[in-house]
Amino acid sequence: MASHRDGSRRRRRPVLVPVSLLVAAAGLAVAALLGGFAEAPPEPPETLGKGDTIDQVRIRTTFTDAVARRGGDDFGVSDKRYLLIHLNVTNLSDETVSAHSVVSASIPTVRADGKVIKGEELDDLGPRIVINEQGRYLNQIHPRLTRPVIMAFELPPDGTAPQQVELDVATFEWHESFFYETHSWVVALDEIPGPGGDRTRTRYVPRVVAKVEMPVRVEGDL
Amino acid sequence: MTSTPPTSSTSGAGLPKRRRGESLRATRPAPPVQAPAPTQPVTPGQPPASAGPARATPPGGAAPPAFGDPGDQVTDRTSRPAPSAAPSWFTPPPTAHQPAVTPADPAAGRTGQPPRTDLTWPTTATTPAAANPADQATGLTRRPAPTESTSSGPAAMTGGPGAAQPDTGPGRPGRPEPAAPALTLPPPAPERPVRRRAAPVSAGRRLANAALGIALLAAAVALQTTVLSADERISPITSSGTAGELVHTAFFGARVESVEVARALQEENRDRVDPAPGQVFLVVTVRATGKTRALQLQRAELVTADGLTYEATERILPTRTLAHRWVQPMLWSSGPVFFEVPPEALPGARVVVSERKHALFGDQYLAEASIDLGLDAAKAKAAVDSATGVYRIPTS
Repeated sequence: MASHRDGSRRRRRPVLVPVSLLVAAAGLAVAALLGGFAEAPPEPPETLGKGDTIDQVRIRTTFTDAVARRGGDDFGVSDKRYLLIHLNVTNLSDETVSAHSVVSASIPTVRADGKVIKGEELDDLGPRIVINEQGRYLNQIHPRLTRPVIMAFELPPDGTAPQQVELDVATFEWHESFFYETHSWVVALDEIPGPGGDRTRTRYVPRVVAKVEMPVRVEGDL
Repeated sequence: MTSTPPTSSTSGAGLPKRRRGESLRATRPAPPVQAPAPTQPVTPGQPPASAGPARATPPGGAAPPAFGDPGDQVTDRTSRPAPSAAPSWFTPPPTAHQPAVTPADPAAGRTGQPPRTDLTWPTTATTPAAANPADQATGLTRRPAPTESTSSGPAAMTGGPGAAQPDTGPGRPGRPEPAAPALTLPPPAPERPVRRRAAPVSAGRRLANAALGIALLAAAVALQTTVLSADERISPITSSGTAGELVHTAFFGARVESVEVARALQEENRDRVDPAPGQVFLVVTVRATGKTRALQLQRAELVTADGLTYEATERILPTRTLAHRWVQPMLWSSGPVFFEVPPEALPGARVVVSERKHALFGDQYLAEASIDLGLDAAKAKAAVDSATGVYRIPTS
């Protein structure tokens, strides 16, 4: 291709390549300054306390109180001791939910003074999660309604009550099935790779979006 | 001159008859899958009548291509349909109406070059207007007009200096081309349908065609919006109706007999049941009959106008409700369904009853009846305002 020898046209300075190189270099420098291309560490779960509220997409939970008390007329059996975690759960979805299923799934782990009392490593049925209405135990939370929910742990008959409880709180997501393309509410999960990158031993655990720490209030003569 | 070997005397011999206007390719016989029978090379003075059995096919039959030389490797080219207007290397079967012509050139009558359908077949652009009948009568043939891309055709037949050059075509690697006769005429072009020039299309018609095409495209795209989603595909098949009307589904028929609003519920020998604060009880009495089998309408939901779904309340045991009634063919059973709803959810609400789907067994495509309760805002308000008493749950 013949070169232009037309003197009437002003020769334009070739800037496209240098400028784009500069832009790319600047972008790389900024990326390097911000930590490179490595995957950013997940945001640490926020820490909540008594009375705080967290939105879990499907439900909204307020952590009202943590009480250690003996059973009575309104709850439980009188010769047993309980640790009750009081929640206010609002159903944000469009259909009736079961309080037990949504609360049990969205609070995967509970620790009392550091000891796990609810978790998948425990081989038990977990705490009792009910709506207590004057001694009548219910489970339904209708859409857009808020109901008081009790998560009840049975304490051993002797020993002191725990001083503090810590709850790991997960969140829901409206999940589309990869195979069937159907939708359902599931708890958001984190992928934990197996030891040595063993894919067959990859575990999926609920993603903890918040940790709630509440002091345990002792009610009556424990 | 008649120096053209008989191989190119193709005036349609050995081909099925075709009508005028009919596509030549359509009438071409199906090619044999296996290699054709080896044919004897035609030597000078030996009439090609002594050729292989493939030659004996009468004209009009499905004549297999008789170009298979024993020395030739059978390639995919040989499985192509034989060209009807065969080039000069093609030895036609002797026919009654066409005497075999002894080839003047000893080498010109050779067979064994694979057909080059795509190369020597006269294209539309190079085809002479029509076959010359005189040529057919005398056995004179016309060669197809040589094109730039043809590899062996012109060199083989012009007899020029290039005739003896080896053919580098894909079918015959390195085989020297025999000397061709000095003068050949191109074989007659096959009879081609006369294409009538289409009448000019008016601008208005073009516009209408474009509009029609766009409308069809738009309709095709619009149809995609009616495709059921995956969630809809697994949901029950809904039959809709209004209160008081018998709504038929595939498995049962259901009719809403009464709709009441209550402030409290009273079961015999039990405590009074109050709703949660700010809620009322909606009591829907449903009468149902089975179609083919006995079933239980264990799922009852109230779907509000804005799409919220309330399950039947758990404050009343299902043993007292429609859920535990057996619904059977030729029998009617009725029962109440209790909902605990805020009063503002009542206008436009529908009640949906169906069997409960089991995840592991049973029918996965259940039927549901969605029945409009007929509560508009005024009726709902009146019903709530007039509801002061306690609804006594019938024992049955």
